[in-house]
Amino acid sequence: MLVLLSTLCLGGGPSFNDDVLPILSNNCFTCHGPDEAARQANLRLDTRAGAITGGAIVPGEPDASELLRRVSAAGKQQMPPAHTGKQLSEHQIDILHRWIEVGAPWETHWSFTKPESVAPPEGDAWCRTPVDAFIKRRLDAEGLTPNGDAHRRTLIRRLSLDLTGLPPTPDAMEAFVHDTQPGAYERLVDTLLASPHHGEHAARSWLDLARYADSQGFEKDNLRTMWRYRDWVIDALNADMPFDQFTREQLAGDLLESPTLQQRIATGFHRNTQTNTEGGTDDEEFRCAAVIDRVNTTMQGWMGITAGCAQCHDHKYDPLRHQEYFELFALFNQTADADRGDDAPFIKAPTPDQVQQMAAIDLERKAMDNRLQASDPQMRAAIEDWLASRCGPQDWIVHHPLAAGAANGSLYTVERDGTVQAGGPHPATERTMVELRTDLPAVTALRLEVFTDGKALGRDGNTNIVLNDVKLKTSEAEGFVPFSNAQATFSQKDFDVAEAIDGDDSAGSGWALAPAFDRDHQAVFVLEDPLPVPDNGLVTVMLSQQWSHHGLNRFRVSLTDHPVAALTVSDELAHSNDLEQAALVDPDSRSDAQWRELATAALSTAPQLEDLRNEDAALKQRQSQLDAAIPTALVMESLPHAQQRTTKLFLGGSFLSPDDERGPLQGGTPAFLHPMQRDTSRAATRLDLANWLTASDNPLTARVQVNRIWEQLFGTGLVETVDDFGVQGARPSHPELLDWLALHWQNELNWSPKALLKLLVMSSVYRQSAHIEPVVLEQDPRNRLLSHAPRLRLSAEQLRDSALSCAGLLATHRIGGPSVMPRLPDGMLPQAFTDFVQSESTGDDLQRRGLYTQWRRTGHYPTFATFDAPSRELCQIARERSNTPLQALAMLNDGVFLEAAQGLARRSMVDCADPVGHAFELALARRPTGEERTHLRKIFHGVLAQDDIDHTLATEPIGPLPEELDPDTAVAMTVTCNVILNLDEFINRP
Amino acid sequence: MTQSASSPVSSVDQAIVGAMTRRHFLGRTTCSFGAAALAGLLNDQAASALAGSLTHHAPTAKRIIYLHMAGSPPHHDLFDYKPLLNQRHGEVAPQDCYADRSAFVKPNATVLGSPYAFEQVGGNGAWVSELLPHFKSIVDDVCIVRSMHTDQFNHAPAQLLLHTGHMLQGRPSMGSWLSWGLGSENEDLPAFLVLVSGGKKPSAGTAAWSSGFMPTVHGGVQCRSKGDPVLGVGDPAGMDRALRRKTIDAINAINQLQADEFGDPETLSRIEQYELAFRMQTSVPEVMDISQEPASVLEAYGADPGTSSLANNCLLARRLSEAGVRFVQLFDWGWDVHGTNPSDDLMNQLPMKCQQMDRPVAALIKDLKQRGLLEDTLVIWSGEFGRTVMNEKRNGSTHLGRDHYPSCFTIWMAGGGIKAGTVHGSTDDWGAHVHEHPVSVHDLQATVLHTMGFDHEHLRYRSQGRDFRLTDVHGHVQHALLA
Repeated sequence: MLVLLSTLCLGGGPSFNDDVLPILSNNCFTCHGPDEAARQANLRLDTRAGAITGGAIVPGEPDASELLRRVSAAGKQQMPPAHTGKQLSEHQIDILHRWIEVGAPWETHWSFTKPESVAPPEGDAWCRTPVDAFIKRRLDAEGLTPNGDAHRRTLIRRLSLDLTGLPPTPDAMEAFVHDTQPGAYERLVDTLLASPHHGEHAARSWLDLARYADSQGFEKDNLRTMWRYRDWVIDALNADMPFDQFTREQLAGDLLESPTLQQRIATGFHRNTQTNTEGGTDDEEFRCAAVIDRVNTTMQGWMGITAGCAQCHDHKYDPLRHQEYFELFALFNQTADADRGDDAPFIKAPTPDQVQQMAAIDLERKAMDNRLQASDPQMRAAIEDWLASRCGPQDWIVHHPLAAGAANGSLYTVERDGTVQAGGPHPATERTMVELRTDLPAVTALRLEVFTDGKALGRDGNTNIVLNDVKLKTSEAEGFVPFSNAQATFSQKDFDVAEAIDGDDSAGSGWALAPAFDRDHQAVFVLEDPLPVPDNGLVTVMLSQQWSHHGLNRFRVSLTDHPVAALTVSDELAHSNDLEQAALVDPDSRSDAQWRELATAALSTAPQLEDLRNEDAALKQRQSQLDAAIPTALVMESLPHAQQRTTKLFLGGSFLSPDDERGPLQGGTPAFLHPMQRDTSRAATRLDLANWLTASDNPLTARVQVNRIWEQLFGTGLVETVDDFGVQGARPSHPELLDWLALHWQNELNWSPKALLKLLVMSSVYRQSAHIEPVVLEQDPRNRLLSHAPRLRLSAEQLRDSALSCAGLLATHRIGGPSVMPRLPDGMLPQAFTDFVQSESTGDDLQRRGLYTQWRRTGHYPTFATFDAPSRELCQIARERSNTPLQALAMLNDGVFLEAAQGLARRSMVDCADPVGHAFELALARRPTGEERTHLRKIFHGVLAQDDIDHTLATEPIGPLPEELDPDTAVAMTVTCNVILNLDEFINRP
Repeated sequence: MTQSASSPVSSVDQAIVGAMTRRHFLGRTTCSFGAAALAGLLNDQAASALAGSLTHHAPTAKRIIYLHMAGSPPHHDLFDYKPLLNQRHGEVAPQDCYADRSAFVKPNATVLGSPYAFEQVGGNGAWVSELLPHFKSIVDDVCIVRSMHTDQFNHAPAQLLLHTGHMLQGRPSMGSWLSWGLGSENEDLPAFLVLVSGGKKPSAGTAAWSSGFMPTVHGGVQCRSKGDPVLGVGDPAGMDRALRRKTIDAINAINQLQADEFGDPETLSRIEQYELAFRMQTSVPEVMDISQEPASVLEAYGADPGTSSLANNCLLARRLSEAGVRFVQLFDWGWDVHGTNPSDDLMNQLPMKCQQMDRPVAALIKDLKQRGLLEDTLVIWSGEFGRTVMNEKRNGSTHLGRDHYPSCFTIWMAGGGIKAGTVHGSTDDWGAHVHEHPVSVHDLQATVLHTMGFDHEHLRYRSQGRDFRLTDVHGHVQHALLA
């Protein structure tokens, strides 16, 4: 077997970084490392000076070195001590021996030193890119031969899955397979990278790193609106935002000059921390937990540094001090969020579509406002019309009643001005009859005025009055004539004046006036048709009152024959002398103020303005509906200077134990890394940190990111510990390639994520076939040398998307939007203290890409959990690709995959002579071989041969079968497709 | 390395190991332990875990049943008899009865004497409440620990601390550690199963049985009372077992062609997984079907097939343990007796919950004992913290209840090498602080791992660049609890 990573330098003794440091770090640093508090015997072995001063190492003299004596000793002298369970092997002791022999040369840990520019090796004919040259050189050295290109059908499926997360469409596949022009492959790559589905796929892994979820976490785990951040990531990746900008906007978008809405949404990255709303929790405890998570996630996600260790003490392996951890903490300790139940601060974050709608509505609003202006000529004309048609005070004729009587005992006196005053007993209900004699030839409307004493309208100081019914008759009419329209200066809630003419005189139906008791009111009742008055001129008004104490007290009736269809009354007109004045003034002499006053009144009542009024109301409604639909986004917001927090080191990492002796700490970055360039006249900020992360001096960020992408395409990082580039992490398999990529990406490709992907997928190493030669299994079983392409199990989301996509069921037309919930198994339990049970979405929201599945931290979508999708409590750089029986059960029986099999069956049966072959091709981008076809036909015909075929298998859950499809065949095809969707080839990226 | 049987995982690994090499497998699981083995730095701890056993010494327990009363029962009313509370009932409680931090209880709250009578039972004269008549009959089989304490006073963090060793979500739970370290005794069943009763999940949700940063195969598999007992074990409507068999034959035949063509050992492993899945489709519903039990057993537990209850879950726990499931985790919701209304108080809710719990739990212990399983099955009964001396009276409630309280609480354990018929530790006269032999949550975990054959300081898992332990950086094995 190869010793892949323990390359012993020829002649020069062991490599410190590759061979010696791992031994020291793993076995010695816990007690003799950077952690001052834990250091034993005052000996440190993580620096050369420490090792020499302490006498552990005498350079050039292995036999005089205490270190060598102790690692070989037995009993009490033995190092590491027996209780640790660690013991050095002969081989390891030999490495130390030879290293000391050549002078114990020391190096800085490889990843803490800036990558050095190296020229790629000369490539041979196999190589298409510099990447290939690095890979090929190593393969040559190990005597391995790389594979040639995979078949085109394999390549397009691989590329589509890697760049968009979706399998190729049949059309795209045909086009590529038959495109014999040079550059076909590159054109395919460009097309896929330009697809909006690229951003969706690429976002998935970043969302794992960002621990994106749709819920707050902890006990209650309430849902939160977070998807605008998710969509920001999709958009940024689709727009190929350079990684340095991507960094700045997420960590400090709010601190950029005049931040845009998008830049503020981007800061949601660090609002993905959890919020604890459980009863009785200490908000400060969980605010601190969130800040700690921000430090850890930033250091890990960008630089592969496991800072979390230094929360409680100096790092055991990497030179990160306890205090330095809290200097990083200080940078994140100045935001306004504080574990609040509502997740404040948040902002309104309209989608681009909503922004467009808002702009359109704004334009309409402006136009509308112009039309509503009192100076608008059309408006003035309408006001004139209205005033002309209006039944003004001059048109009402007060009628002095001949008599006012009551059915149930009230007594009325008629006063000189025509007012009627009630007196006498208070019957439970009352019907008041007022008899008038008029000279009018006909009556079109009745006006009722009611008067207050300043505090009360009703009888004997009772505040309110209720009029349940009002009718009119003449001596010749047959019975009372009802009114068709009523308006009042005011109506009580649920006692509208219209209820006084609705023919229902029960107590609950009437006109009342609470709480406007302190002023006079009037109501106008309009007849549907003018009522002719007979020669005797007698008219009777009937007023029905069902509330004993709220009977009419002091009132007056007037009649008119004013010829309008709908008479109006308004509070303003009735009570504002100014308005009356304005109405009476000659239009040419009206002041602007008078026009405005009239316009306001006219807008509220004038029939001439009804259309305009309705348009205005409709526009307002659209505006408020849109406003209510605008999602929010959680954002980072710096505290004002005066409210900034003091940061102290937490002893033992506990927020209850601030180190008061050491005092307040300023924000800063660890001393073992490059200095942070910033304006030193003010405190360091998150923006300074963001710039530090992507500074050209930063030894880690570009390496870590390049490695992250490499892992996605090749299954294993060049540094296998994708989340740990520290002393305890793995050494790179191809250090020069990693460094070349890191520098090339930063400097030549300007941090472009798409350019990096393109560089990698254009390579020969990527295009290789996945065939594994037996010799390779012997020599390089883990394929670290990449002599063939790895087959990679698809992610949870890819599996779902692929299955639904080849079945023609996946809803891909929309990018982004609120999260959705796919089909769920029966019997989901609610969370403690809530009755919340996950519910399924409806319509095509059931079939959206897995990326959009609602991510609830304590109620993870079960199928995704089965396929290694994390619940996203913590930053995760790469996912497991496990292979378990529960996954087999999900692929075989889960509702989503069953529905996909049913959909694929139907799709492949339409107009197709060879549905089995067609389904296979839709799923796997190739035709089945003869042998494969034999197995599939056997299962297909086996089902058909059954006596009693249960058709539910073809219809549940997808729904009834289209008539043109034969049910037996559909069942047989569903079973066949269930087999196809469970094939290893389907489950893997080829 | 001893191994009586293998887990689904390890059988996979063995298939791979058989076909290829162990190193190959390590390479496919990049995020977990590949790194350590890769650099050749560690002993092959990870690799031996896959192959089945990491144990450091001879275990006294082979499997665990954990009975978690979610919400936390009041120790004063069940196990920790404190007559002083009755003497001082209604008086303002001394400041000493408050923990450093509280959830709801206000200053100057009054002492709440237990409304329930206690008597001394068993060889050791343990005090037990009248609410637990059946428990009295098993008291000589259990070890009562009255001196437990925690540092979390809210449900979710306290449950997480108890099951994962850390108050925040994201770490592997005890069952995951044991699945990873030991695998399952039955290759047709998952190693770690979870049963939930009381109608709701515990506060910590699925995080309480998550595999955290370990591969998901080590996570708890939740058994369900409605629908499939384990997700996916039921075939779709219209597909019988014979047809399912034929489909798996077809899948595996075509996968074999793939394996022949590409030579990827992972494809062979998948063939194994489909065979195992097929077997689980039979074995899981079988073991979950308690209607197979004789009427006398159903009667003893108070179990009622077809419904969802703690009694059914206790019986299931016995069946699963008997079948070789390594870790059976029960959660029963409804023990959070604050006294804000009759459905969470001491006078209505607590007696009802005790009635639901007492008989089946006692039946479980007797049943295990009678079958000879108790000696190597560790049973643990606990809440996640204790409850206050004081009557909570939230918003002036007139119902009796106690608030969350971290400084002391009572749990009990039985079987699996635990010293039977003992009472360990004590609290002060108020039942407010541990008086002697304190046992922390990490101590409990260290002790549990010890019974399973592990040194808790050396059962480590590398993630995010550091070695994690169930006991974090704490914990001492409590030898006094061990037989």
